Amino acid sequence: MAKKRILVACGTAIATSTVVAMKVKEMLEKRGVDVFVDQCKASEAPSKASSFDLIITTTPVSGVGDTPVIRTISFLSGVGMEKDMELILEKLGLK
Amino acid sequence: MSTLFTLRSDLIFLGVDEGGKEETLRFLANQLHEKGIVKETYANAIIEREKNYATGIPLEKIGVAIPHTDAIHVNEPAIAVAILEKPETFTVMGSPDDQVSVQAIFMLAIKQPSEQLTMLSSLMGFFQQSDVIEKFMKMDSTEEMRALLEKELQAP
Repeated sequence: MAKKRILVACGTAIATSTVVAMKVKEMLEKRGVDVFVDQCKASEAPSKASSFDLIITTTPVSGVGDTPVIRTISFLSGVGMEKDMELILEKLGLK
Repeated sequence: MSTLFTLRSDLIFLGVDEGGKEETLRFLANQLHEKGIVKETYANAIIEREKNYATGIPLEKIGVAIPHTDAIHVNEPAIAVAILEKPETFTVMGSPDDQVSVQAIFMLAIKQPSEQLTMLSSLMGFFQQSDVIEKFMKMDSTEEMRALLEKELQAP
């Protein structure tokens, strides 16, 4: 199976997307899922979306076509993180 | 052991009451500027960014905000903390229609996201420990708070 590709977007691609990207990768690897994770500014998401299987964002994004979007800050706050992890696996077609 | 962020007890403020969210952000930004940590442009950049990309985060028990902005406004990495006398209403990060009552602001001066990743990630780890956050919020010595932050934010 090809490596799944996840795009993590936030306002400026400075802080939160970096933290979320690392956390998501770490949690998926713990579950034995090897993923490619890239990060970008929310404004760059539309132009990058088509080459990714899933977008995780801490800020609203639009114009990303058919790529599924999960908007969450659970990977920052810790509240609801496991639930979002299940949703990620579902959107990636891994469960 | 060196940290990748400057943590100083004189960048931790208790009982902050500046009379509004923007005033509070400006107060913290000015403190960072006075100490040479950020450029003069930082304060306005922080306030503008907060309007467009809010940084309020509802934790399990309290609300926090992590205002930050582009590295071009920053001289050296640091965290300034304000514990508010009364909560300020922030918009929830990523949810323009949701508000959170914020009791503590952690203003981030970020220079090199890649290098400071561990610290940022540990800060989120800190936020996720309700009991540690609760203890931190009750402290009345900025030096004790600095020491607790340093302990929590060191790379594991």
